Amino acid sequence: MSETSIPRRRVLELGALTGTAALAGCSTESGGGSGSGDIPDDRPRPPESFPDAFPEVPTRVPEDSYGYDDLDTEVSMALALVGAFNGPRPKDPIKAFLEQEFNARIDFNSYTAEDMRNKLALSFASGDAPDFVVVPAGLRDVATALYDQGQLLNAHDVLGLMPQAAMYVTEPFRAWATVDEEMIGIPTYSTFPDVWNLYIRKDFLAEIGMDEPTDTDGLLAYARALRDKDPTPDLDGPWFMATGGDGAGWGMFSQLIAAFGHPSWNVRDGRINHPMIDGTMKAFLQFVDQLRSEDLLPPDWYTTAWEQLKSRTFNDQLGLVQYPGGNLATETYLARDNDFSKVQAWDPLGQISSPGNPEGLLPPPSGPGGLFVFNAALADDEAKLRRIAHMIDTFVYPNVNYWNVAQGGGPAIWGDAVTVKFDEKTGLNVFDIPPDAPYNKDQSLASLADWQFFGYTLRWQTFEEKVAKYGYDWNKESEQLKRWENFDVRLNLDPKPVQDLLTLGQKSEIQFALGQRSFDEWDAYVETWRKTGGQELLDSAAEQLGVQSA
Amino acid sequence: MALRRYKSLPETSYQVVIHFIVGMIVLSALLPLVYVIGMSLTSQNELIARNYFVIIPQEPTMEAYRRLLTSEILWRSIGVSVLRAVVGPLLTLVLTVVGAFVLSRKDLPGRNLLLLFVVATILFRGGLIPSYLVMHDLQLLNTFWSLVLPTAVDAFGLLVIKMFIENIPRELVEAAYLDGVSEIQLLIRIVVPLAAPAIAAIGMFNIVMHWVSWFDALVYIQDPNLYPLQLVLRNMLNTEVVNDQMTQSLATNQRVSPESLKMATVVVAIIPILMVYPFLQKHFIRGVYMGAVK
Repeated sequence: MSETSIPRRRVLELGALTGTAALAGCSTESGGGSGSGDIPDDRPRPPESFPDAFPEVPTRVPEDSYGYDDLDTEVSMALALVGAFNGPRPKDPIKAFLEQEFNARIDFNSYTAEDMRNKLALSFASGDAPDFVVVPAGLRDVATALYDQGQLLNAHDVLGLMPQAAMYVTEPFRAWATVDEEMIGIPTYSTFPDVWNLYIRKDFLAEIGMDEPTDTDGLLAYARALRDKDPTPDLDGPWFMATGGDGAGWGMFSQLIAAFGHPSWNVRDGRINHPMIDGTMKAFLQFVDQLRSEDLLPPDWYTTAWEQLKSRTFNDQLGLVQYPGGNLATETYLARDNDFSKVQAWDPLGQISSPGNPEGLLPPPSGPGGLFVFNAALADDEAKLRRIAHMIDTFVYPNVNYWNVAQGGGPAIWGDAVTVKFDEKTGLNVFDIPPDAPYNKDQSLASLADWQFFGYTLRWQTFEEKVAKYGYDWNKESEQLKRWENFDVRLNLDPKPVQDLLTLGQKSEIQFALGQRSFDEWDAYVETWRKTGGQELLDSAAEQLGVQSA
Repeated sequence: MALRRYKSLPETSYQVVIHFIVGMIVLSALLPLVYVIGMSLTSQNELIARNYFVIIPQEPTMEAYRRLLTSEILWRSIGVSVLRAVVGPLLTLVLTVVGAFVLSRKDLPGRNLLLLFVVATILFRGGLIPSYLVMHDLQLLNTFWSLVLPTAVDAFGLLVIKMFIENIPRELVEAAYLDGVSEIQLLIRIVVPLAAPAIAAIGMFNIVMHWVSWFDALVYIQDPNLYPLQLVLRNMLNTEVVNDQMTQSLATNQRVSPESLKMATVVVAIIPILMVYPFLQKHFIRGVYMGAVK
């Protein structure tokens, strides 16, 4: 059997989900969700209201919060999530530890995001589904489809069992996880905080005698100065920037879109708005076209993949990159033979303004990282539901097992080989894993790291090592920058037109940027965009946000 | 090897041009392999310094291979793949040859209908969910047999072998019957030896098919200890992007270039086939011809 091509696989996925729907329709359960309103009297109740933001200082819930769970009863459970390594775990000390702590038999599986679609569709269709799944944000449509088929529990009813996770269910997150007034899953925080930012070469600026740009005209002037004054005469380049998107999207350039206006769905003057209709996208593409036509970009600026682009990033060939600050610091240090001065050559840019963005707002903050979803069959097994909820809740920051399942295992697993420092006053932690830690040497332990995707986050993690701390400080600086408002978390859009528009955009936008299509055709392109599904989505978004359509 | 002497200038020129063209083709086939091996032996820093294009590394490192080959996971998955590449083709050949022998008999009642059923499986598939449900109901999910039973009968191979059997001279078969052989003896002693080229070709195709398959394991297998080599390697290659984003904090960062690890996995995956292929090459080519003629 040969590898199925991607388009055929998408058809198979849709067919699998349709098949799931058909099979679910044959069952006695129908309609959305399961167990709604049938909460046992002794089950802790969910919160009645939700905060607007995460707690200032995350704290651990009291240990007696889990008195509802009778640990004397052994439970078997099947868990699944999207992991990073997804390999076999022939030696799994984390599983052994959890089975002992929670008197459970655990079947834990991790998959890539693409495989997770297939697995969920097939396993729910056959009745062999896991009891608990962490569905990443990108697969919310799959969770919604399963919930509509009655395959998942109403997560609101379970929230009372997970007080640690409930701490991070803000009102916007709750709205994102709610469909037709029912919560399809418990929304979770993302692994990465908003630390992507533009980083500029301070040394290049000094060499060409410029201050840091503060607007898009300044960026263009910087790009031209790199070409004309060449701060690295003995090397190729430097050029302004590249996408690193492997020819499949705007990659690093995506932050530049936000410099020209709101990069996604938004509301303006009581009316729905989108970068395609307010000129934001056009202004961005005109900017890219200008960069390209003036030879300010490297020859492979659009086609190079992220990994390959590092050869330009770390060989002084790019003057601007978009990166998570911590990664840029660490990777630069390693790539430049541990020369810290090379790290210090970079500097995070501040707000970049333009006529469409006078305040220089950055892209919107990220939404939830995913959803905790529970198999509807758990409605008939209260003991198992409580055990799962109890155990998973202890993986959430900064609960007792958070570090034990993170980074391949914490102190309870590896003893003194790893160090954890948690500051209760600030809610920050340091999690130090030395290079000679067991799983850094043994490839067969690599997939232990997948356990962390239940609750791992870098939001409150800090570092003591010099380079990591330097990058962390950059991250903190980036987090303070002002951003556009995130309206996407309040929207539940039909995935088909969304995908159609994505395909249209990937095919058409680059043509404008390459000068293959004139901007005189822009209005006609916007018409095509509306007809391809854009108008349908504008109307739907307007209705959901309670504003006028456009 | 003695050099040939060509009689005329045009013929000599022709041979030079042909050799040049074939040489270019050979180079175009070998160069990617050399590139993959070179990249697999290159450190992250050298890759970055040399723009991710390395044929011969200046400071070769075996770290990527050390990671892979000391991994218990890799050896276990190789074991699964080898078992699959042995058991699968054997089972396929037995069932396919028997089926072809039966269907080659023109006096078999309902032969045309049975042949139609066989041909239909070449043209149509059941689909992912029905196949999954069949495996589920047969309790074959998460077992080794889910990897070999669905493809146990090769419909195309059956038709090819049937054609070979039909071309065996009738007189030979009648002579065998006169000697008192049973049907099974006829199959084993006469038919199989004469149809050996076709059987070997179909067997070779099957070995390669089982060796490279991973999607069926992804669908039917839950237990990672039953993952075949290709699925394990595919998952290893998919870690690259996420691993890169977690470089700062994930101490499980491999400390070896993701590109080198990727190339090393490619080398590890193709070595077994490269070792076996020269011995079975003629059967593979014969199989391609048979398919074309058919």
